[in-house]
Amino acid sequence: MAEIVIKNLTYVYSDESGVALEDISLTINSGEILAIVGHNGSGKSTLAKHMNALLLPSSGSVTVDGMDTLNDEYTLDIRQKVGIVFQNPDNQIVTTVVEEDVGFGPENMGVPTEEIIERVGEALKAVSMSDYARSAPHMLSGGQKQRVAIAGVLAMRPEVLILDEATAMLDPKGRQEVLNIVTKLNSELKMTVVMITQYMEEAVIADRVIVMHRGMIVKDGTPKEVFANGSEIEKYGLELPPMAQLRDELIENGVDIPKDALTIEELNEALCPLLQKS
Amino acid sequence: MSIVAEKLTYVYLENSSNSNVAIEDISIEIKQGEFWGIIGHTGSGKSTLVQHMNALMQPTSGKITVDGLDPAEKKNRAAVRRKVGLVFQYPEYQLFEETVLKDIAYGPLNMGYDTQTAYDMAREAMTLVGLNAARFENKSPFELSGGEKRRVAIAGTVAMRPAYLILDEPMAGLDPRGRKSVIDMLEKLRRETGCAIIMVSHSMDDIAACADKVAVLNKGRLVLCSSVDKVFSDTLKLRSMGLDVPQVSLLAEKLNESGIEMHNAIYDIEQMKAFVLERIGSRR
Amino acid sequence: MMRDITLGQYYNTDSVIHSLDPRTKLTLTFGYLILIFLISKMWLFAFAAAFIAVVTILSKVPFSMVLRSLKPMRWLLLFMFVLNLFMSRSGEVLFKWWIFELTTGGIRQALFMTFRLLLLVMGTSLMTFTTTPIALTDGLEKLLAPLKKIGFPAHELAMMMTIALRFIPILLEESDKITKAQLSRGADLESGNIIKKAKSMVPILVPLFISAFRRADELAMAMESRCYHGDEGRTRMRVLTLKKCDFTAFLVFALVFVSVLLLQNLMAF
Repeated sequence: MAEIVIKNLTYVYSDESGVALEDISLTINSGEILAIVGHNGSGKSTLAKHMNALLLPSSGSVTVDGMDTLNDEYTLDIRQKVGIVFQNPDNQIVTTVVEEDVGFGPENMGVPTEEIIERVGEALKAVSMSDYARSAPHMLSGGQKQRVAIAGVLAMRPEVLILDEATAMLDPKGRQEVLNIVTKLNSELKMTVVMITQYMEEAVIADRVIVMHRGMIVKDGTPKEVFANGSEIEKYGLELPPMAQLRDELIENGVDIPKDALTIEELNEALCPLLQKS
Repeated sequence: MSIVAEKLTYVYLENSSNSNVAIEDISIEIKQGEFWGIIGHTGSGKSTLVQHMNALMQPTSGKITVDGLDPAEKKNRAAVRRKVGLVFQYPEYQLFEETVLKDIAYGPLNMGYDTQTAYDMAREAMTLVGLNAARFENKSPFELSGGEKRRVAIAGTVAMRPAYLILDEPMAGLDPRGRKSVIDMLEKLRRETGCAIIMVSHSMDDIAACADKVAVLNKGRLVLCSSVDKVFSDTLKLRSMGLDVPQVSLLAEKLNESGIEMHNAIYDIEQMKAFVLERIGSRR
Repeated sequence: MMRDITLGQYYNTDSVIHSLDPRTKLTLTFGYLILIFLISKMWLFAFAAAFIAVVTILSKVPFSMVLRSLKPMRWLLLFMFVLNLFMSRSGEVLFKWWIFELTTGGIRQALFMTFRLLLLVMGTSLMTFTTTPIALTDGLEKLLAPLKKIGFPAHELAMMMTIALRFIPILLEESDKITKAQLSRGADLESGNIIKKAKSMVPILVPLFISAFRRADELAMAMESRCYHGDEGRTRMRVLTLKKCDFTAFLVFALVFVSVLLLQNLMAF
């Protein structure tokens, strides 16, 4: 299974505009959902693009299953193993028919025709878009387009799925659709997921959260660990997920609830007994 | 002085077999100085409605007036567009000038002000949206960060000194700090210029944070139109329309199911905190 | 909703003609064009017209639609007609005024050219009515494939056409949005002379170009991340295969082609 190992990665923009990533070391374990959060310009997208050789390190190394991204013999294998879904749904769909677009990756990999058709069918089914196989992408909603984009990556049978702010341009419904698919892929197919996001509530569903700030990793831990301290998170231009904000406000005012409650369920559980006792 | 819509209806491709009703029978009054939120899922007709307020679209039937001016008459349209500023979604994609100052002055110049006055208005708008005029005015808009670009684009409309400022999803795509600063900026704008603000969004959290009144659109119809408190008390109905309900509302709903009674709608953290503290406190 | 522009004038239905391989249709349309240009006797156009009529019936495309495809050409047709009417002077003079001279030869020539053009437009329209642009692109790529050997970028050309088809509706929508945004900032796009009008387009064109470049950049990255590396080692999901009906079509057309030419050369009139 794919494991991405990043060692002392530094990336400097070619146009003198500075250091985008500085001395990053990180191992992404197979099967985990990793959320990367950070304010605009913190380097999170740049980091993601290193994971499938779209960008190459200025120094340090990135390896996928032992294959170094700097070795261009491996480029195609790495890109097959690590798929990225980008932010703007319109700018990553290549053809005018949904199923043909999903087949685009396998076509590039040289997969035989019969198998492409099979893979496309499976991929569309996995994102519940089979009914739209013959549709034109520009007639779909944002959430549907992102699901097609995910299917396009799935058809390459990757081991790691990276969502580079893939929900940022979607409405709440579309966002939920995409998140549901992603958690399903992780639990059913054991797909490793790297989720770059602006929304802290999305990071809560991850197994592990990384906070980036000025090109560096400043925090790395479970959601409970990372979102334990509000003032620290705010220092990095972020905010706690709403439930954690509420939790801190209540604790500050002397309400006795667990310090690591993060989800609606957890708060409900903690608050119910307190409020019911009469 | 207000924007008044009466039974506003707009039908796409009216005389065609695949005609499509975008908005239907919408009546609403937006008074000067108010802060409105308009919510609805994608395709609910939000954009169509606000484009009518800016005379970019003309109703199929019904009527809309801005301070008594009817944009159905062509001669009123320029005046309506001066009174009502419309900031589209991702407005930074409309920047085109060489410098920030020139881009912001485009609106005032179109209104007929001389260059000097237009530049002064542009500088004033920059201050209002929180951009340091001296630092930014000679920069190219294309070398700014995403959040700064958005401010420049909003300033481009603010510079025209509208009495009503409409913003379509002004927080879309921004990080938490950016979202927060847009909310602060809008509140400052209203305080200092006294203009009405109409914010279109599908995030109830954002609207709960700043609006006084809310209009909810669903399938082209105005289904709810009232104070924030009243509208947000009906989370079930809002959720059935595909809207994103604030997490605090969901928690309130859960607590309610567990038999904890609440008298008022609770949709933000402050309210929930106050509720919990009051409940626990009264028992001590 | 806007009519789906990516389909061009494609008429969506199921017919023998629709199911033909795009390569067959492209080749036969080309052959048909040659035939039309080879015909030198007026009455032989009847054959071509009958051929078009039969194909139209088989394609289930309404006749009215085929005729409507001539509409944008009406001024050209009229111009060609009038031009030929007075340009060729042969045979009996029927009418003379100033430098204009109407001759029987002129009438014949004018009718001849008009028929030729009419049949030409109807034939090519039938192809676009029955083939989606994307299928045409596929067909063209395959037909031009042999030229790759001499360095002709057949694959790249087809990829460009595909991407263009994909992005036309997006950019149309975007230009509409930008126009509205600038209108609401008081832009005046209607009044003034040509220079003023052209100038007033700058606030629309600049953002549109910037956006197109940004999209191109992002698309290139997305394609790269999906292993795109040109034509080398690429397989296709949709393989074009010639079916029985394609061979029948070639056979039928060959018969028409040969018999028209034979008639033209054997008959004295």
